[in-house]
Amino acid sequence: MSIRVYVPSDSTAVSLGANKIASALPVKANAQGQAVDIVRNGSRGLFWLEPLLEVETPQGRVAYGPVTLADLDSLLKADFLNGSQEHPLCQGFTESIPYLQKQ
Amino acid sequence: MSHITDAQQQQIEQILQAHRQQRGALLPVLHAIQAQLDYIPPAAIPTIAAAFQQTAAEIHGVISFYHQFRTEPGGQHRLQICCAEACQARGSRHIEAYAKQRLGIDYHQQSADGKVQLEVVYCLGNCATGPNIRIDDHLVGRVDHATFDRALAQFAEVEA
Repeated sequence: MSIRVYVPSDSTAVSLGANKIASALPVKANAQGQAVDIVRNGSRGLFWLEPLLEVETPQGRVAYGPVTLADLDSLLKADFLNGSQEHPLCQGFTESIPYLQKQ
Repeated sequence: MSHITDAQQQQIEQILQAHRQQRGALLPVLHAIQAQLDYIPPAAIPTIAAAFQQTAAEIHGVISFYHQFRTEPGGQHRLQICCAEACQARGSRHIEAYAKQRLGIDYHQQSADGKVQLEVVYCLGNCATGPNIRIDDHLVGRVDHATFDRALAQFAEVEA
């Protein structure tokens, strides 16, 4: 079963490399035997965290940002596709990010 | 006055004809001319002026007011550096200095190989993640020297 990952496609995220991440991630994940289903969503507006990747898990979406192309290897190594929260770029569950929670 | 070829004259007349019924067509016409010819030849101004029943000075005024319009052929790629307030606060002047030194040119000039034309712009609307640059239609945010070089290589095929 493929893992759903949200990669924003708005101008700001794209200006920070979101398109390259969206193309590179499935290739890198496949090489490790993991299938990824990329969904291009809009930004949540937390531009300091863009590109903000969200991985869908049974418990909810887990957010990682700001992600660059160079971070993908370490994110995969930290098992971010299964929602692991160990990577330094992990922002926890998207819904629990304070700026969003206050709204 | 610059030279204008018969082919250019014909293209301009076709553009004017295509916009004949449109109200407020001057800017669309100027954009169309630049899109087709790469620039707006000064020698074309009298033709444009006649079509709009305006003076050549008025047409020249419009062309020179908007920095997007150019009256001589540009480089293959247009590199714009945002120097509006937010980008300046985030270091765009350093990127500006780096770009000028890296390409060996000042604003409104072309690199020696003709690949890049350097321009300044005031706000690309990506203020939260400045400093920003734009190469043709590609917006690049959080620019530092490394991202500048990468963007230049990717979008303008200029290697370090």
